[in-house]
Amino acid sequence: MRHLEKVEPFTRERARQIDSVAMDRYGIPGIVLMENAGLRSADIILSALEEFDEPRSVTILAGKGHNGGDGYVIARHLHNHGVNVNVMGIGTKNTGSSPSKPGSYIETYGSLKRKEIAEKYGLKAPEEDVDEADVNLAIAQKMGIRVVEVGTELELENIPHFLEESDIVVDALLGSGIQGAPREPYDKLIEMINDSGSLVFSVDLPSGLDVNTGETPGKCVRADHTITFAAAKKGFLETDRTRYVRPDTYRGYLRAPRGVRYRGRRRRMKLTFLGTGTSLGVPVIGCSCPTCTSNDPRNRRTRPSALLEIEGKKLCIDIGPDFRQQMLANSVTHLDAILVTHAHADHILGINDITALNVSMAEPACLYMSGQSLYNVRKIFFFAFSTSNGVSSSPDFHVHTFDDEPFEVEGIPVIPLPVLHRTCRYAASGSGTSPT
Amino acid sequence: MSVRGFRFGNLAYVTDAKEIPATSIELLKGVDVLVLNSLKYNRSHPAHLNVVEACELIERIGPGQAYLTHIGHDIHHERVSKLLPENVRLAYDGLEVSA
Repeated sequence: MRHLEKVEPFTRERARQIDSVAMDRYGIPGIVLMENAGLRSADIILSALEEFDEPRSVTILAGKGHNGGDGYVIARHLHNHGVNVNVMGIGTKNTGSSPSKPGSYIETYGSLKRKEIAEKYGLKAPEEDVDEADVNLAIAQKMGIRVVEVGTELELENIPHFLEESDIVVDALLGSGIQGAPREPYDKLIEMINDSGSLVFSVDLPSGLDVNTGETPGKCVRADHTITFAAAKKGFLETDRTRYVRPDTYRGYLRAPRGVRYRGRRRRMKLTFLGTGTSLGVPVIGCSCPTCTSNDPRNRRTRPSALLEIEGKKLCIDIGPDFRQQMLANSVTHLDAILVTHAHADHILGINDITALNVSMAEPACLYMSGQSLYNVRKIFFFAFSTSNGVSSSPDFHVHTFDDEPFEVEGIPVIPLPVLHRTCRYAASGSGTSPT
Repeated sequence: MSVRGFRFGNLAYVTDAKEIPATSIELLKGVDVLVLNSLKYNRSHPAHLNVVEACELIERIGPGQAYLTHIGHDIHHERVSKLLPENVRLAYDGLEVSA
């Protein structure tokens, strides 16, 4: 992942301009742009889905425009990966055309330049105007993916049931071209998405959000993740980020290939082990083994955490139940970022103590974690995510999510390293295992 | 449960690993300082590496210096330290390392 705040955020006009440059100057067909957007989104959703023990289904709500087209591409790729996908579309019956000729989309934009491109590459211009979204809808249908029309094949009142039964809901309703309050049935669908309790991914931007101003003139999707393209959108920075573009969780393309080795300048850094113990700490309550009764301070271990100091920045790795003691023992009053390796208790239970840091820092803390960790942290620390909790003593923080791609923290490149933490099963293996 | 370790330039911090996929091993190569988890000495655990397993991985990755963390009470600092290879040490609360 590339942390998009480092790129000048796009306005509606700039986003259009970039699309047009890609198509006109470079001759990248619109349907290829749509494919890239949908494929990348599908990858992100697939990796989020891996975190569910027994994935049930993904529901995609696809609007009439290109945003809906992205949704059909996502549906196709998820379907190919064996995911149980429900697709609910708007305007799916209005199109009858199902063009499949290669290159026929070239005419869509109707400009001379694109005709020239078509001629140059020997592509046949279509007889009629086609839309990339229609093309992708038709492909999905030919693949046997059932796309139900909202309002006719599926009554609005039956939709919440599907949304609640889905692990993930994909909001591909309205894109960045839309201005003003969402009309029926979009407004009702947005409300249903927000009430679903499922993990919500918005494509390009949360439906209902004004891309330039961040205003929400009507209903707006409260996205857990926003998968946006090329750059963050200006409105993301303006809007109530705790509510709509939920704490900075938008992601975009990584320009450098994944796995690119760190080749930046050498940075001096210092790592302090704040805690080196296992989940129970050492000594263990009630234990009289030689380690637990040792006088050597090196045998007294608090829960695992480390402080990395680099170029004047302080990054804390994990925030377990001993976080408070660790901050006190090391005289830490300010952290530039807290990175979470995973959401097990011994790595996150100190989050409530951010409340005290908020006072000394006079600002919210910045947490970095995976989407799965965020999902669990939100369940445990639900009160910290409530927009109307009225509790002044709850921790104040922003969450930035990452997946498996490099990202930056305060200008410092970080490469996430996925590792496997096998689920603890205390079978009678004779190995004398204990919960950790 | 998927866990992420982190690499910051020439230093990497990995905890709560039982296995490290080959792709992550590749990303770890070339670090000067590697932090890795070890729960017990040589008894196996379903979710965590032990010291023996961690040392095997350290040998494959080849950091200048490795530190073990997430340590349980099976590991007595002084006793186990004597058994470790030259470039592997047990971390302890308050230890500072430069990279």
